[in-house]
Amino acid sequence: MNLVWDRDMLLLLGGIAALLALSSLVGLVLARRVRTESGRAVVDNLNARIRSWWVMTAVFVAALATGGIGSVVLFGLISFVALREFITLTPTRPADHRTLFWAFFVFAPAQYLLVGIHWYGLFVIFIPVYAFLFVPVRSVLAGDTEDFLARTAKIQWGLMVAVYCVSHAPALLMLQIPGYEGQQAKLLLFLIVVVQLSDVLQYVFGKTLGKRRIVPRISPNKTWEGAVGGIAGASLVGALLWWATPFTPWASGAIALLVCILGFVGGLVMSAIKRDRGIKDFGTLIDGHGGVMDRIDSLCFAAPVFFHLVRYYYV
Amino acid sequence: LHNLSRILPKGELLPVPILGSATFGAPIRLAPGEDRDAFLNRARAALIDLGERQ
Repeated sequence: MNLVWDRDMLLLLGGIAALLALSSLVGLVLARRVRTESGRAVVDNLNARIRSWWVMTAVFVAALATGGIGSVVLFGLISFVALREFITLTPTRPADHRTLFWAFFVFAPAQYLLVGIHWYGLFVIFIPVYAFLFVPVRSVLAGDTEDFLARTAKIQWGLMVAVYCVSHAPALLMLQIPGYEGQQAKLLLFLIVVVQLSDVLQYVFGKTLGKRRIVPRISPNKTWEGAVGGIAGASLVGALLWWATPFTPWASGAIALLVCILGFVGGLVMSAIKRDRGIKDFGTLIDGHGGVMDRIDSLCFAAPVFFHLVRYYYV
Repeated sequence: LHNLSRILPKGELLPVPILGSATFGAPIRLAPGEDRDAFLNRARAALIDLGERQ
């Protein structure tokens, strides 16, 4: 797959680097000015988050630079780690061991192989049809019926959010859009920028203006002020980035808005799972953010809908 | 050691990559004049204590 690095791409990457540099500067200033104990903890976490953003951006850009294959491999690894985190926190029984082995070492790699070889027809049904039917069959052969339905559902959900949904992000690279050939990397970058910027702005607005909590029992950090500010801000940026996409400015803004809303509800659903299990984060891999699953929860919900929207209207 | 039995249950050949972790407690040494049973009881209590703090 030949992906073109044009002026638009460099402009996007320059914008991201400038934004990160600005955040680092703000973090530095805040670290000098903060006085209280609780404020210190928030600023330390903020600076850890910003440092992790630099690393994540560098890894992602390096993967994009290799063309298609690097992005597919990167998202495949992200899915694998996210699935580890998800299954670790989900109670399964010894009888599920072989089923889990299939999920990790057959279904997850196979899904990304299908993305890599551009086999769209099998890519969209492989997990929801074949993997989902295989999971209960393999578990029933192990002969343990205790909590059978719940165990099956947990493994299926892990595959669904961590592998199937995430794989739609690199699958954007296989879309052949008339007049946009070889430029799909910008579409992937657009999705990631809008989704993650929405998360970041929700955090910023929530920390500065947040008062009224949306669902206090699920997520104490999600406020109406943060959600509205973050979603509106990221949608506006999405509209202003129309030149990097095959969309018109209005369509770009509308799609960005939809992606942000999906990202928001995705984060909410994943928070509910975490509260159900009595934990704060899925893991500890990304300093300041928690686990990989905590960082990609919004992408899980946004990527498949974005993919199919673009495929339906623009391909 | 957490999750060890989930990563590789007894009798299985292939491990599954579930996250594991190790918790370290304070080192325990045989106190001068301590007999075998007292030491084992002390070690056992320390382990249970460590598990409860998780």
